[in-house]
Amino acid sequence: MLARDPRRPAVLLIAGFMCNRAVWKPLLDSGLLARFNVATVNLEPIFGDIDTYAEVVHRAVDRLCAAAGAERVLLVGHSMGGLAARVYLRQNGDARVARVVTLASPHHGTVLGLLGHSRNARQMARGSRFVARLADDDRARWPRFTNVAARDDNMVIPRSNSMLQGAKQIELDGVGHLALIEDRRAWQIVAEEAQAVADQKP
Amino acid sequence: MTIAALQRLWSIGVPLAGALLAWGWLPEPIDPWLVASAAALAPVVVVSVLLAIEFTVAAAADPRSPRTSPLRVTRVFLRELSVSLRVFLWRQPWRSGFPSRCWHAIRGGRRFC
Repeated sequence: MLARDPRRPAVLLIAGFMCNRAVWKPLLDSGLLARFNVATVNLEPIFGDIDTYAEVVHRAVDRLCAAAGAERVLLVGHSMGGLAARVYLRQNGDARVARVVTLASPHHGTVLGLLGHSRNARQMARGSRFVARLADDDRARWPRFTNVAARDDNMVIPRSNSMLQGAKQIELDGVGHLALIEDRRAWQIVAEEAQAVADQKP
Repeated sequence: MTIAALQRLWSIGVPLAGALLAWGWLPEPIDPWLVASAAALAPVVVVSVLLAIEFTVAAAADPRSPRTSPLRVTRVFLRELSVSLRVFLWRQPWRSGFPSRCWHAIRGGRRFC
């Protein structure tokens, strides 16, 4: 049984489109997050509405806070997971979230979304009403985000669409969309952000 | 259907389709090693084609300046291919079954999964 430790920062890892919690295994096994309480969450149903994923994130945040004794968590979302984090914040407010790190999230949509037929793929399409409305609603929160983008992203097109204005922006070289989640530089950024959240605490 | 279940079907179905195609197309007598090779190569071919489409769309819709060198594109492509095969054929379908409420000790830390 784990002793609850509010001093240990809590981190929720949110997988993206067609991905589940196993995608985070190399990061978890790296030991870089060993000092933190880390939870993972799958966004299912697979082809569902991104708005409904906010409820999945909400339950995971509550469960993690309760289990870890934490007041606030660091949200880390890969790809669509970053959009789910934003929808969660829009629906539930900032009270439980210290900061958000997004890895290659199509914040302003992607051209490839135009080729998709599922609800969530269409929502991620460039110029979709979903991304426009989300941007209108949460623009004030963007400074609380860290956006990690892959310079050679093969899914978020154009690549600049993974950046939010006013957010801390980091572009990594020589890595594609999925490989970013296994990139040690990206892991280091996540670990540093988690540590920064820990340092904010009294 | 969960992501893991869907990708289990894919990780079995694609090699099976590769083997069946080889079985149907190869002239008699059929060498079992060729059928096995076709089964192993099928996922590599399918994922490579999908990634090639993505990289082509990316290059066309969002050209880099200065232009990315072919060597660098190849390196990124191969890395993406390698990660995709590991993630979609092995890790997600077969290694995601850890319970949704548990704590695991990992190298001195703890993971809530």
